[in-house]
Amino acid sequence: MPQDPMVVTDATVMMLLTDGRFPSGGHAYSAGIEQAVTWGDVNDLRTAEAFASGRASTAAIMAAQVVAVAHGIGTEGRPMSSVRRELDRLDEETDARTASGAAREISRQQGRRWLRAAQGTWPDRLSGQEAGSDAAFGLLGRNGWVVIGAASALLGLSGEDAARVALYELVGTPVWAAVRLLGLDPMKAAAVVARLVTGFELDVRRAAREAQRISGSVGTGGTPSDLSWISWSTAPLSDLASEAHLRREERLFAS
Amino acid sequence: LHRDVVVDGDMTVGITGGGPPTGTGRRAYRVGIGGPVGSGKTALVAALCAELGAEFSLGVVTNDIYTTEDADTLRRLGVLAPERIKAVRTGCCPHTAIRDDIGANLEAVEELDELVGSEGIVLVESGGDNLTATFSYGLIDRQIFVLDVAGGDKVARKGGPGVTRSDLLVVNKVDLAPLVGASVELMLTDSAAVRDGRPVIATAVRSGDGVKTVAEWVVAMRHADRPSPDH
Repeated sequence: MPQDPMVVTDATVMMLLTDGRFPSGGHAYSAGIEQAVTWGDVNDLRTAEAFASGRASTAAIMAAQVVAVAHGIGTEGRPMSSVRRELDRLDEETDARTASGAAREISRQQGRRWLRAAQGTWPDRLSGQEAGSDAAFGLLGRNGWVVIGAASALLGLSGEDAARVALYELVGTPVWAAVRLLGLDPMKAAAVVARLVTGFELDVRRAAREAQRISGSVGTGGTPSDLSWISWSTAPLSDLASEAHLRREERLFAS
Repeated sequence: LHRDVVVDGDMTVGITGGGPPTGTGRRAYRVGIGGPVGSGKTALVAALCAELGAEFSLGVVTNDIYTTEDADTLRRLGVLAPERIKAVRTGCCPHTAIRDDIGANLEAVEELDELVGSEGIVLVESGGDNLTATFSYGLIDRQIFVLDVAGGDKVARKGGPGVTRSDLLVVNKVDLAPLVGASVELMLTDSAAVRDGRPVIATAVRSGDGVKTVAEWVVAMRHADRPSPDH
């Protein structure tokens, strides 16, 4: 039976959001690995994998929980005033978990670019809002993970799948940048991405489910302490690298 | 395809889609300038700023590959106030940033819109790239591709989307032709043959030759694309 061509399935949304050709600016970011290459900490596929693995085992857990909470907030049919207030809280909590000012700046920049690309792709799903400007949910100017989570809810992704998108971004961004920077074998790099995403997927899903359970029972609005349970685990090397990178004159990548 | 849609009846907004150039939005007119490394893109941008600066409010976005060299050069030349020049980082892929994934450049031109105003012109200079690099019309209204005779007179014949499809092809450094054994005539003939009537202008930007003609083309395109200058 022919399908309605306007029906967007979860799988399509996921495929597009993680496609390197999706115009969300991902190609220009290295998540600090360009700096790590300059320092000499990353110089081959093995060290690139270690760098990405560090992010997958730490920052990805935090990202998964932020994404899952944002997903809950962004679910349709909720009163707009409380949505904005809750997103404000979540944004603050995400900032508090991002030690590097440079990384916070990059996160907001990526959030803007994801939002623009998603609005351009699914204008009807994102409330008919104009690309590149503010959405009804006040997503413009938010941290990247907050945008991914809330927008994913509107795009019909589950909170867990939205967290998987975040994991893919966290791993793929430095590994694919390392391919360009170090001339790595792209097939072997793809194997690294596959291995890491698969390897950490269960942890990330569990973290997202936990976040959904807690935020579903205690709520997300009100005071910042309502969200203090979100994981504080971050990737210090990535943070340090981002900080040093943004102050550099000569650099290829935006992060 | 519509680049402009109306939301809530009173707000005209830009959609980041492709489509033919319309240039009727409440934003500055956008001209992309691409071409190989060293062909004279930055020099042309500087010369156009000087030529158009008296009549139009201007802004420039550069897409340097590794540094902010081009933006710095333009600031040093003093062709525009420093805040009207923005540099975009392109992550090793300058062509991706102007063609496939234009978000960062859109952000830069939109930021300039506030400064430049809807009656102004924003020039978007690509990072030096190869002959296949062209701009997405989701980013710019018209595009200029710059070749230079010192790169060899066979380049026009080699073609590629920049040579064949750009709205204007500029063949620069024609004053150097005798020194490098290149034939300007051949380049102009070869490019005309593959451009389906689209214009080609020969320039020697450093000495100013042809710059006025390029500037006139920019102004003519702006008027053609925006029949009603009030919008």
